[in-house]
Amino acid sequence: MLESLSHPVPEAEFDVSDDQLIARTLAGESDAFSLLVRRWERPIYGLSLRMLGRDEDARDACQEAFIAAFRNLGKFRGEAKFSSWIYRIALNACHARLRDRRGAALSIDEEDEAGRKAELADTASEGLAERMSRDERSEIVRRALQALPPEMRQVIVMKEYEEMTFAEISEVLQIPVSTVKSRLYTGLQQMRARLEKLRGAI
Amino acid sequence: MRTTENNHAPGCGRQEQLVAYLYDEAGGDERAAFEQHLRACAACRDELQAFRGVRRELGAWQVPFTPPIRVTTPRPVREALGELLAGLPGWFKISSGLATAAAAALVLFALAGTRLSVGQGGFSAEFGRAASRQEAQQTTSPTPAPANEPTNATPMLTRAEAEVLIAEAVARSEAQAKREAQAQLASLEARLNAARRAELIEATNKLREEHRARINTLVAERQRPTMNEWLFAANESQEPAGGENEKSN
Repeated sequence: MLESLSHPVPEAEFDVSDDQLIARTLAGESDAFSLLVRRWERPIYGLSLRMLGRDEDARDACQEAFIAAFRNLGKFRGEAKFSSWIYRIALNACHARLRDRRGAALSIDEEDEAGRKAELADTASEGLAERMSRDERSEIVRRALQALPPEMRQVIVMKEYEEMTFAEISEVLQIPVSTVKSRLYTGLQQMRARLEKLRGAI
Repeated sequence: MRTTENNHAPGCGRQEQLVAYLYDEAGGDERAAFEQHLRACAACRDELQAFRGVRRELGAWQVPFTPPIRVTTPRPVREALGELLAGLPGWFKISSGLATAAAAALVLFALAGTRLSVGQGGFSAEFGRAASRQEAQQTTSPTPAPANEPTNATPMLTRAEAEVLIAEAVARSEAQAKREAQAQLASLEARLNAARRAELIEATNKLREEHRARINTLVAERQRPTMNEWLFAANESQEPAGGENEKSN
């Protein structure tokens, strides 16, 4: 049973390590966990959003990830970094959601792409390719990424947006570094093909 | 425009070196070797350039908003009610309807323990008695999870599952906590009644004093004109006598 703190954890305690916060949470200082969440919510949300492509899904996955982390904190033995552990939990939450919507998602993505092509063609007729807004570019990237197989996508997301090293990605996914590199290569290749295809539609 | 799929050199076999070079994670020797290779291999040069373009494109998707996750740990009922009472102003304690509603909300909050909600400003995950639920689940779990692989052994909760779990936890703890909560509420109500009675008596006394003071003032004001009247009456009783005398003179 968790016991309440007689005083809240000061916000400034950012020099405390993740492991210390975990130990304190397990010792009953549940406020320490909230500090851990505050520390990691941004990257975990970013990862979830880029994996799932939709804000609402990302929120749900992110929420599930932190609840699962809290529930399983006792099983975390510090052999890996907490960051790797929470990233892995979040990715599992994302994959579960992707599996749930796999059937419908394929057809939706295809429709989306057809619609996007038409929009891009309109844009081209106005000669606006150079002036394409950041939002539109962002949307194209989102769609191109969503069309990648999740195995490739997660590696690209971790490398590009979370700026993790090959070794860190390898630790999260528990696959060899060489596999990380080859998945990244294939992912980039597919992204290149998709982006060029979309540009070709202009 | 280039066609992509066939543009890389399939037989080159340096995909990993290319990726390591692209992300600046190649060691000194590896880097030098790959740079030397690049000078000779147009396909790799082309691919490197294309991947750099892909990376620039990827950079266009920035996440503008990070929803805050609020984690709160509710205090035990007794403590929460104590804090509530200590923090309430006197007028709030007197209006027992509000105080009781707040206390009931706190009791529910403490019972529920873990609450999930998605609001306009983001979502919130609130943890409380989840630890006790965690213990229960760990003891009933047929296959304990190995370290660092919680999600393989313990399936991830979907939102619906989490809500079901919470509902179950609430139902389980409700019976146990009901008596305590009722006792707490009864105690709270008794204290509120006592406080209300004391403050009512005080307020009544104060009102009575004010009323008395006001009456005194009114009486004083009433008395003054009476005195004037009396004085005027006294003067008048003398003046007409004089006037009549003058008139008569």
